[in-house]
Amino acid sequence: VTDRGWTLAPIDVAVPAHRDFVAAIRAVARSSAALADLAVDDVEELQLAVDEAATLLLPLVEPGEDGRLAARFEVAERRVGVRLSAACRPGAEVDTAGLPWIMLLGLDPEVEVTREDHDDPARTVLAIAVARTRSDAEA
Amino acid sequence: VSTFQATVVAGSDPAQLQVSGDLDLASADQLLTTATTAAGSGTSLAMDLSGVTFIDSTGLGVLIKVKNSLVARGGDLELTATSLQVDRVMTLTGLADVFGVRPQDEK
Repeated sequence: VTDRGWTLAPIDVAVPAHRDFVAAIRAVARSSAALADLAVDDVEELQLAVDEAATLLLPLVEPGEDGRLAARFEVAERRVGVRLSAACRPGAEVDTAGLPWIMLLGLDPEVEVTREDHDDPARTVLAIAVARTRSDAEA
Repeated sequence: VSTFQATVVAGSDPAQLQVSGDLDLASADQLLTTATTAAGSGTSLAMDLSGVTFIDSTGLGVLIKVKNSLVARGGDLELTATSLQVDRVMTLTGLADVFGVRPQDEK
């Protein structure tokens, strides 16, 4: 429990897997960063990282399906971790050659992509995890 | 709800666009359409990005596409003003020089 009286529990958000809803996830990223007391530059870069992760995942979601883009925010003292995930087309791969990935890597060199293959061959869940620690935090 | 707006400045020659709000995946197509229409058959276009509150790789992609199209016709895309958010992303991606954007600490 923080000194402000709330528990450090994950924040879960799920939106339709459509470009119009990425701004909603950015808004939660902004709020989460503020709760973690990140610096202004960190807040903006976390929003950008979340946006680029969403940009990479959205084209992989099966078109026409009732796809969802999920985001889990882990808010801690001066740190926010975010994991975006979506059920994607079988065999889908995150594009690591384009500008979104290059930007994501620049924002968080430790960005992680994970794949969860399920018993159902038509269902592959891809996740991208990024984190931001307050840049002027004491080591 | 998108906060994005791209408005053609009336009577401007070459054409000028005033752009504001979030320039992202949701608004990139709108900017491309507006810029292409505004440029018409001309070779130059000016954009004021001082009101842009967010820009991502998709937004940058549109700026690159418009610039390349105009350069191929012998003209160019001029960014007459940029916001801190635009400056930061341009610097992060190494595109500041391409668009003639000065880093924040030089402003």
